Amino acid sequence: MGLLALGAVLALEQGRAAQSAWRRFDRPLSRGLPQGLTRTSLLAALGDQSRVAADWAYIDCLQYLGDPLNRQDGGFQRTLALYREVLWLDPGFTHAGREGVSVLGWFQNRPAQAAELIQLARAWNPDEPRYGAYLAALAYQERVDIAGVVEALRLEALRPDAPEMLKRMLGNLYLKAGDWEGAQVYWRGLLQRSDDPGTRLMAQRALAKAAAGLRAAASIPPEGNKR
Amino acid sequence: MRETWVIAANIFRQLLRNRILVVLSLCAAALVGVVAFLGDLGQEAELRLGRDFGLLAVEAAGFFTVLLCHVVLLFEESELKTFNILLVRPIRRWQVLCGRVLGAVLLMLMNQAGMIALLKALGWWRGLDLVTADFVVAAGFLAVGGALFSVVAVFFSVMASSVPAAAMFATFAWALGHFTTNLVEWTQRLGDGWVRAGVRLMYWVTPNFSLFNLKENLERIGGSLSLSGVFAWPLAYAALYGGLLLALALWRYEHKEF
Repeated sequence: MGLLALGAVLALEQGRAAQSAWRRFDRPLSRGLPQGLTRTSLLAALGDQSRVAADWAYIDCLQYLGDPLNRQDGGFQRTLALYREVLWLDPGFTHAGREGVSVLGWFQNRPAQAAELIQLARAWNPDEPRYGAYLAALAYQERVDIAGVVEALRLEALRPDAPEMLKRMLGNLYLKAGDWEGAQVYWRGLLQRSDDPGTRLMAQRALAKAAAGLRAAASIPPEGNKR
Repeated sequence: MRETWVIAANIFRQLLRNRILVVLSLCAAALVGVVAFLGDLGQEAELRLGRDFGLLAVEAAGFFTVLLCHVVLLFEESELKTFNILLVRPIRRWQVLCGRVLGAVLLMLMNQAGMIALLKALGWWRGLDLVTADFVVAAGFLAVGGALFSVVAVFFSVMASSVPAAAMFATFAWALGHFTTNLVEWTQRLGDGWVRAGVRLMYWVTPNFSLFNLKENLERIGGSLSLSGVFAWPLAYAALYGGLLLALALWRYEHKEF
C-alpha cells in the first residue's frame, strides 16, 4: 500500500506539472482579483470551473445590456466590470473581449473604458492578433478620425466571427460620415452574409437611409448651374 | 474476476429497476435541454456555450449517478440486509465490493453516453458541431474521474457508520477534489510554511478531480493527443489512487461484521 501511495503522489505531481505547462493561460487567481468580482466567479475559479464561469458571466453581460432598465444606473455603468470579469476568468474568450470593446468604445461612447478593457485583454492574452485592430481604431476615434476607424476595423468586420455589434457600428460610421455609396456597399454585403435578425433589420433600414441620402445629394444642384 | 463481472452486471440491472435512478436518467436528459437554453442565451457564442455547458452537464450527471448508486446500494445492504443473502454463497467480499464499483460505473457510463448522443442530436438540429473528437476525449476523462469517484464513494460507504454520513463524506471529497489544486498554487505564494505544508498534505490525501477536467483547454486537446504526460499521468493517478482506496476499503470490509 505504501508503494501505491507513493505512486499516486508521483502521478499527481507529474500530472499537475504536465497540465500546468500545457495550459494556454495561467489559472485566474494568478492574474490578481479584478474590481467588482462576484463571489460566484471567485468560487468557480477556485473550483477549477473558470471556463464555464466565464460563459455564465458572458450571459450576464448580454442580459445586462439587453435590459433597458439598466440605462437608469447612469447608462449601463457596469459594462466594463462585467466584460472584465469574463476575460479574467478566461482570456481565451476573445469574442467577449472584442464585443466588450465595441460596446464600450462605440455604442456607449466610453473610449477610455474600452481602452482599459483592451489593454487588460492584451496583457492576459498577448498572442491574440485581432486586438490590435481595435486598439488602432480607438486611437483614431480619439483623434475623431472616422475614416481611420473604418479603415482599422474594415477587415475585422468582414470576418464571420466578428461581433455583430462591431459590424453594425462600422456600417453606422459610414452613414455618420455621409459616405452613402460606401454605406450601401457595406450594408448590402452585410445583408448577404449575416444570419442575425437584428443586423439584417438594421441593414434594411441603413440601406433605406443611404438611398435617401443619395437622392438628397442628387437633388442639390451643383454650384455654377444656378439659373 | 468472472464473479465480479456477474455481480457488477446484476447490480447494474438492479439499479436500472430502481425508480430513483430512472428519474436521474430523465434529469440527465433534461439537462441537455438546459444546455440548449443556455446556448441560446449566449447568442453568437452558442457553440462555445453549448460545448462547455454540455461537458458540465455530463460531469454533473456522472457525479449524481455514482453518488445515488452507492447510497441506494448501501441502504439496501444495511437496511434490507441483502448482504446476508450473499454471505451464504461462494462469493468473496472483495468481489462484492469491486462489483459495486463497476456496477455504478456502468450506470454512469450509460447516462453519460446517452447525454452525449442527445447533445449530438441537439447539435445536428441547431446546425452546430457540438460533439467533436475533442469533446468526446474530454467527456471520456470526466468518466475516468467518475470511476475514481465511484471508488471514493465505496470507500466512504465502508468506513462511514450510516448512509447519510457516507453520502456527505463522498460529496465533500468530490467538492474538495476540485479546489485543492488552486489552493496549492495559491498558498505557494504565502510565507507561512505550515500553511503550505498543510495544504500540500491535504492535496495529496484527498482525491484530485481537477486532473480529469480537460474542458478548460478544450481546443488544445486534439493537438496534444498522444500518450503525453497531460493524458497519461491522470490515468496513472486514477489507477494508483483508486487502487489504494480500494485496498483500504477491502481491508476494512473483510473485517466488518454484518
